[in-house]
Amino acid sequence: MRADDEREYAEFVRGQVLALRRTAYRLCGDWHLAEDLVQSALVLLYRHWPRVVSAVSPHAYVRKVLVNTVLEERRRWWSRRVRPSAEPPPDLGAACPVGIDGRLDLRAALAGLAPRQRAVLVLRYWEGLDVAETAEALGCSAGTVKSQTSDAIAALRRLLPNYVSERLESR
Amino acid sequence: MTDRELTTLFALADVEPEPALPPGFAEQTVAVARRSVRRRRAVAAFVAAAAALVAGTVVVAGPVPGGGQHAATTGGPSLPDRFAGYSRRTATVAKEPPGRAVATYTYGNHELFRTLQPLVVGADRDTYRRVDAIEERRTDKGGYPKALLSPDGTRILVGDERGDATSLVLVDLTDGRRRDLPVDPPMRVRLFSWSADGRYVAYGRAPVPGQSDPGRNGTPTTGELVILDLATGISTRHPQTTPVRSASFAPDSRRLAVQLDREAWIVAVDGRRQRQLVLPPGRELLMRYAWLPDGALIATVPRTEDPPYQRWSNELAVVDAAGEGRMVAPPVTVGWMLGWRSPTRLVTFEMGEDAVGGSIIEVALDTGERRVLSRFSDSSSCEYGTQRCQVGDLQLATGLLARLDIRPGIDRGDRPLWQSLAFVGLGFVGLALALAALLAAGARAVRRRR
Repeated sequence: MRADDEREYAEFVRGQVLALRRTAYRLCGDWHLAEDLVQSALVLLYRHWPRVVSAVSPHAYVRKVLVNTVLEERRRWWSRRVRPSAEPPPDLGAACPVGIDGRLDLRAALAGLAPRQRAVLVLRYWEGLDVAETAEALGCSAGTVKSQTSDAIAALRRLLPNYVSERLESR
Repeated sequence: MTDRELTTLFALADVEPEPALPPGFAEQTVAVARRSVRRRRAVAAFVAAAAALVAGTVVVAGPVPGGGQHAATTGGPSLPDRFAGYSRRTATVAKEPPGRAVATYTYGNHELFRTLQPLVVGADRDTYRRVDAIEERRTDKGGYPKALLSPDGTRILVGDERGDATSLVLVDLTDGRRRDLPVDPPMRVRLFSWSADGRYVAYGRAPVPGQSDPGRNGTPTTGELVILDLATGISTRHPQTTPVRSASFAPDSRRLAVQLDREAWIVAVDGRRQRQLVLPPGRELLMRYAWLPDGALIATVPRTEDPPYQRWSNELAVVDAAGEGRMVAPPVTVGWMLGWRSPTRLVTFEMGEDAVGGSIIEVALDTGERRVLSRFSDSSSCEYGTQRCQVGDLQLATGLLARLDIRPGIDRGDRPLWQSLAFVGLGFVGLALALAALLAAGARAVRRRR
């Protein structure tokens, strides 16, 4: 890589690394793992930087790489055996999550979702992407994003019954 | 849940402060990325160089040796114009029957590693097979028992001169099946001749060493004539026809020319002596191939005290089988006899220099003209590339000689030493790369888990 390109890449890394780590954390639920995943995604970006920076948005590209890296990591056998978060407690649905307890319950519920269901919820409702952007990040069609969103919400509702209505009604 | 409700839900879960990044995380990421690209370039260059080396070696070396390579088939039986080089990966007759064979021989070396192979080569295509029935009777000293190839090339009979076997083994080369033919009591068996119609085999049986005839170098010089009828599997002894030194079936398959100690006789297949042959003084019948195809002439060689087994050089004199032993032509010196193509043309094997390699040559008795039919390589591809290859116990299917064509042979060996070493070196490099990749994957997995 030329010196100019590498300088540009380094500036991009410094400017985006926190946001990328936050996205990775939301996708995986573990800060240390999030840092590893971000680094892997940025290394991949480095290999293709000259092409990416001239053809497409580096941010969209690295976000796509990051999502794929997370999903790939979730598929590995040790990832399936070692979960970064505890399983949702059996009486989770009866609780009314407020404050720290509520945040923990939401993350535990996210950990109970399938990786792609979690990803579609995080990208759409936590990262604020629209359907098209989410589809691009996941490498699938908009229709698939919509159906996976519907499935993910149904799964989340089963893991957190009464959570939304009570939580939102109290606001 | 509505989109707004979900957005609110996630926003509420996002209020805790984020932990600080490790110091120098961004710079470290750039350095890791730079190293990653360099490493990938180095690996790609190494793989490309290794692939180029392998491709170049294969191009220079020709086809990799193997047992299953076939040349195009020809109409009739044929002999390859060059025999394939040594290959450790040659299949066995039992695993992959070769069909009718045009030749059987031993090839290799046994100076250090004993890599000698008893082989057959197909009469219709270049099918090389190890004769496992012979290999299984190998002695601790490394010697193989003698075997006899049937005139039509479809069967091999494995004998045993050492007296420790209780049976002969008949191997069908078309389907790999074996048939044990008992030798009771166990005796040393010397296979003499197979009749042209394929039904009979003449052999001599002699006591085991240490008894009345210790023989020379383990090979009995005398014994009694036995006729094996392959249709019934019964061996008929003819104790009156002794001490027999050699026997050859006549082209009609009903008579044999039998060399006793000092006399030669025409003997019927049932063992009856028909008449005595008169041979020139100091001569005896040629081992195995005494009859010329016309049935009227007999080939003789000088008599020696050694067993009249195959000799590397023969001063051949042809005499009238019905007369007073008159030579019909001056003696001619030929190599290891392999049979007759016609009454005036014989086939012989002449060993190469230093007793390695050699050629199969057709010799015209009347004109002395010689024509090379096939060659054996004398390359150093035996004993793992350290020794030159030797040919032994060569026989051709005598019933196929008259109409034998010559076909282009395959090259499945002759790899020089440097190429063998290059292949071994590349193997080690590949193994090291695989191990390194495995260790790297393991290290990555451990890092990820942390």
